[in-house]
Amino acid sequence: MKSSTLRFAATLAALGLVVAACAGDADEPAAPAPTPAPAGNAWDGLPADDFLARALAGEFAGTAVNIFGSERSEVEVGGFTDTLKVFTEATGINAVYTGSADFEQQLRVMVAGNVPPDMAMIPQPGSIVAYGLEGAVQPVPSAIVERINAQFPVGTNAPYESGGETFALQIKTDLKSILWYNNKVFADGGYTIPDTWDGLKALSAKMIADGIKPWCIGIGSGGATGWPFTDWMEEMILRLEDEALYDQWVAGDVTFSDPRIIAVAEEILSVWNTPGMVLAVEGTIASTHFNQNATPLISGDCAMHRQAQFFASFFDSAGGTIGPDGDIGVAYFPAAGDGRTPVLTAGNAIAAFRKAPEVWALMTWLADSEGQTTRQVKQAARAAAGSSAGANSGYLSSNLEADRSVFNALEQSFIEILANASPARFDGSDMMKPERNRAFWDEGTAAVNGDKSITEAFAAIDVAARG
Amino acid sequence: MLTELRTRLKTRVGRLLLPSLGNSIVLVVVSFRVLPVLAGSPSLPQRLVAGALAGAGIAVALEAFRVAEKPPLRRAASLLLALGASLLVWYVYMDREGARAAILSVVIAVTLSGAIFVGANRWLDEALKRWTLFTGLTGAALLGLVGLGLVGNRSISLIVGASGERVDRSSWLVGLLALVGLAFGVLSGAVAGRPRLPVLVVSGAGTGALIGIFLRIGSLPSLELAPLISATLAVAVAAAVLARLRGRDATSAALSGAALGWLVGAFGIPELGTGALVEGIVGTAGLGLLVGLRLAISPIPDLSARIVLETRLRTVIFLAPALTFVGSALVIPTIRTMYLSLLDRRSQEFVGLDNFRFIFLQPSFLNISSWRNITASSEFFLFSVALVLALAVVLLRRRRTDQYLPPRLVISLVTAAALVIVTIAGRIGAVDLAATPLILVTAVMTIVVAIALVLYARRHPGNSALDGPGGGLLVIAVLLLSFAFFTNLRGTLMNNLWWVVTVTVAATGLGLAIAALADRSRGEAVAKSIIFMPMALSFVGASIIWRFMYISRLPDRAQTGVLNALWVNIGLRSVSDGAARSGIVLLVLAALLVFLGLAALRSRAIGSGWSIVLVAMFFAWVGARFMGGQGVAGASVIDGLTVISPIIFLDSQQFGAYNNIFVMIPFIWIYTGFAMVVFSAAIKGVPADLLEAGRVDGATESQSFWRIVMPQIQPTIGVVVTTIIVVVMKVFDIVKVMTNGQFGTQVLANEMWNRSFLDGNFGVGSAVAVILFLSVLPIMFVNIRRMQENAA
Repeated sequence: MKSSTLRFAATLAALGLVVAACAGDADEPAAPAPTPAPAGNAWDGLPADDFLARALAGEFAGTAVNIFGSERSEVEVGGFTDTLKVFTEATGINAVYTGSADFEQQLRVMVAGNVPPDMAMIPQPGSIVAYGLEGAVQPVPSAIVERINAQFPVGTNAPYESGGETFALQIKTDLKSILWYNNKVFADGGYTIPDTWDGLKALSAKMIADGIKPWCIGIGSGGATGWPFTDWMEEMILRLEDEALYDQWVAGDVTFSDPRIIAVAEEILSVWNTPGMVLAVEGTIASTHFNQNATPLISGDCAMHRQAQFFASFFDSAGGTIGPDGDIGVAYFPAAGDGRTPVLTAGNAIAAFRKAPEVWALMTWLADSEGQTTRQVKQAARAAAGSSAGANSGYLSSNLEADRSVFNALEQSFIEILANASPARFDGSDMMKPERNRAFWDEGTAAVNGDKSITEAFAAIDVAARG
Repeated sequence: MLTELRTRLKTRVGRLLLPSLGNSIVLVVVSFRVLPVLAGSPSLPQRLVAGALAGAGIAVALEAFRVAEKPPLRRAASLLLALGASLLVWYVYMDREGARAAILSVVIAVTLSGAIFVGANRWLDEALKRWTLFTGLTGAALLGLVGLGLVGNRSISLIVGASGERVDRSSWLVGLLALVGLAFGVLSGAVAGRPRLPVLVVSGAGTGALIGIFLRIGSLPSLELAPLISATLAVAVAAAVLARLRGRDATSAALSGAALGWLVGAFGIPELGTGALVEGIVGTAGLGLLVGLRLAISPIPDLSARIVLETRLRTVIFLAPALTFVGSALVIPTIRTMYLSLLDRRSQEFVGLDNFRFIFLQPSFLNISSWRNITASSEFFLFSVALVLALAVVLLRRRRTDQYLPPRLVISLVTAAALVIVTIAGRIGAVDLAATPLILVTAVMTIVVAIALVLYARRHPGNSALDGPGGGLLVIAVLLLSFAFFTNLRGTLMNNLWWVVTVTVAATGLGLAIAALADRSRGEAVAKSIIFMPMALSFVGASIIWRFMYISRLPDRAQTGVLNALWVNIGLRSVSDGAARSGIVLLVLAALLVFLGLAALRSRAIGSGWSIVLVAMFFAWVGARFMGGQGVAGASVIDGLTVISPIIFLDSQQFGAYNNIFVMIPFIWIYTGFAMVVFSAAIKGVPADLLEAGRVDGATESQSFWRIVMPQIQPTIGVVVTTIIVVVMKVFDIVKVMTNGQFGTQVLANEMWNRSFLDGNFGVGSAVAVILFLSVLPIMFVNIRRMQENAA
């Protein structure tokens, strides 16, 4: 009796374990729980029809989509979550967003471990294309790409294309070519924003003579220290050289050791290293965190700062107001004066790691004018709830059909700059392959810091790019 | 009560219990994997399975306790308990978030492990009693596990239903294969005599073919006759030869080898995913046929053979948890990493040693371009000065004790003095220290000193004049030499070596000093606890603390970092109105210290006397600066203006490569406590009668430390040093948190992480991991050798 009971129980237990182990072979996901992939490519046979319309008709109600991304600030996460709620209410598809500080590494681990999220918001087109080429990111059905591309300026989604496939859609646009300045300093000194880079240099020299620190610069950003310098490089290559060289350089056909690229770096660093030119709040440019530049600019300890449009929210949280009557003025970062008005952009694009109708429906909706408008409305509401009036959402859409009236005056001026761009180029370092991009950060920092000469540092980037 | 427990533990059940605990650790891991998956979409059947699982496990665990005696009442109680446990599981699965599910998974794992252990033992009992049942269960378990592996790796699958509504039922295959294995096992245990050969061969081939039917398209091989036959024959012959050499039966070994060779030839060599279904079936059926043949040629074992088998298998069960852990968490990943380091970034194409070539070509990884500056650096100059001072001290002490001057020491001193002269000549510009001939000369001189010293120390063990102040100065000299190396030879690899030298010397030295000084002093326990406390912090926590300590702010703002607040405020004090008064206080303090130092010197405490005088001189200098109003520390007066300069610790602009030292400090801070505790225990272990005897002979405190305690704790120093070296080699968190390798502070582990997970280049990432592994290996080897020597 005894032994038979035992045997039965032990067998049952072992069998139960086996069954349980078979239920899935997924590693425990770090962030969102993965939805099991359908067996085979069951959706391959489906016509590439309007998934969004079918979703809105309630066809996919009860399914779930998880989105992984790097956006972590309260306003951004809140705004995006509220946006997803609108989608969930309309379709019954449960969409959940998770943000992570170590987004890039974690996504890489999740993909390598075969438990990717359903969708991810990835800022680097280089990574998106790399994931796409290795088969992790699913190419967006052409019907969706056509529908969305018709709503955006030509070439918006070009950075995410490779081999005739589009791997992601841009759902958030960042405008980088912005000069922020202290209104009071400019009014007191009788300065005006120059039209050209040379004019800007002359203005800086005049400010130094007047005993004012012209620039606030800090390129620290934890593990990504150096990216504000890469922005400056891109900005200045577009201005001092042209977009043809820029494209070749980004693609790697022109190396960092190219004399034209070195010359641009020398131009930037000769300005930065001019005595009295730069205020670096934490001691050196390299060790000053980029977000530390808001406070001194508001207080007038320095006069100007170059940073993307998202920096508006840093002024908000540092207690500064933006606008002609506020503390901080905004202008287009001066061009070279040759008639071109180059604009540097960046953005966050959404890519799908799972082929499923509900995923395509959500992707379409997020990039579509309705989703873009909703995001701005929700995020502006979140920003206003968190601070004083006139808060900026930190969000920008270049969707031409999105409702412009939901953006405030400042944000509309950004959209204006975007619209007047000729040419507009996507942040080049984000389009480079990861080794090159990271070496650009690290070696760029070394050059800024004076640890290495520009030639030495840029040669090292070229060596790193060979991997 | 205790006696009862002890007798219980002595029973068979008690003996069963301990290995169960080992198993349960494995199962905790398993259940943490399984439960979230179950919890993902808990349908009713799944919940019931979970409930039955826990219930059965608990029931079996209780049964195990009652193996010796079992009144029916207890049995009923245990069944009730099982029922209750099932309900509990079901309830928790309803609300499966959070801690309850986690605790429950542990409970389930522990009971399950007991269940599996008891089950396994019962299974082995059958080997003696009912052989057919034993082979049947074995077959079911083995083929079930094979099925689990194949399904898990998506090699076989079962998709049912029409297109559009196809459902994955691959998990059924595990059950199916277990049933087939049961049948095959029963056959192999029951069929004897003439029918044994045909029955086993046919059923083996049939079983293989069954697996082949379910092979996924991606796993179908395109078979080629030549490699298939040659692999089969080659492994068969190799196995046969090996068996012959070991005096075993060659035929059965050849057949086992043939099965293995067939597996390799059918699925290892050809490209998978290009073949037809029939090729897959041939591949698996051939394997099954060979296995059947192998089993068929051995008769059913008699009782004595079964006893041997049973004993062996029981040992395996005891070892299984440990082997699972070591195998799955250590051996397999190591081999896999080595393999990956030879593949490209996506681990697809074989690229040979390209990854290693790539990483060594990176100037950020290894940059020896300024090697010529090593001897010309001020660190090298200071090194030679420290060397001469150390040797001078050694010689002086030697002279005091006996008049004989060993020639090796004299050679060292003369060479070191020559080294100083050369470097001084270089510093005043008379010669070019970066010229190749001079670099060679200085290198040779350094080596001569080192060899002479080592020879001297070996000749006079335990009675060497190198202990005491001379030894201390020598350690400083070695550190300075390493600084001369590592500030000129840069890169990730060099940083790691620098860490090893600096952190090991500093943590071991400080730990030893504190342990020796605190020994038998008042407040020893309190002081040691405080110093040991950082050991309780994680590296990440310590790094964050030190980052806060290091923070610098603009000169015109309040410094929020502790160190800079001190630095700047002392500076501000020195240029403030009351500076002169503070200066006088400092000068008086210095005078007092000088008085104290002289008193110490008079009572022949040379070392402490000079240290006190040195501190006094420092105070006097600071006091003079205060009086003069020129400013010290974070403030200096230039052209009548006060300039405040906070220290930017982690940036390379102010300190060059020395910012690495500030990254190392948290590590030293933590590991000093570790070294101190170990040394303290070792010092307390030195026999009191030895110290007593020394004291009777008139040894001073410092003499008895250097001559009695040090030789006694020699092995402990070895253990502490090797342990710290291994931990330092792997350092990751501190660098990740403090600088993330920026500003020239990168180390191997962080480089590995960045290459793998930021660049997505698993080839280069694995190559860095292999480099790290290979560099730790010699130290591990030494460590293990030492342990074995101590054991022997």
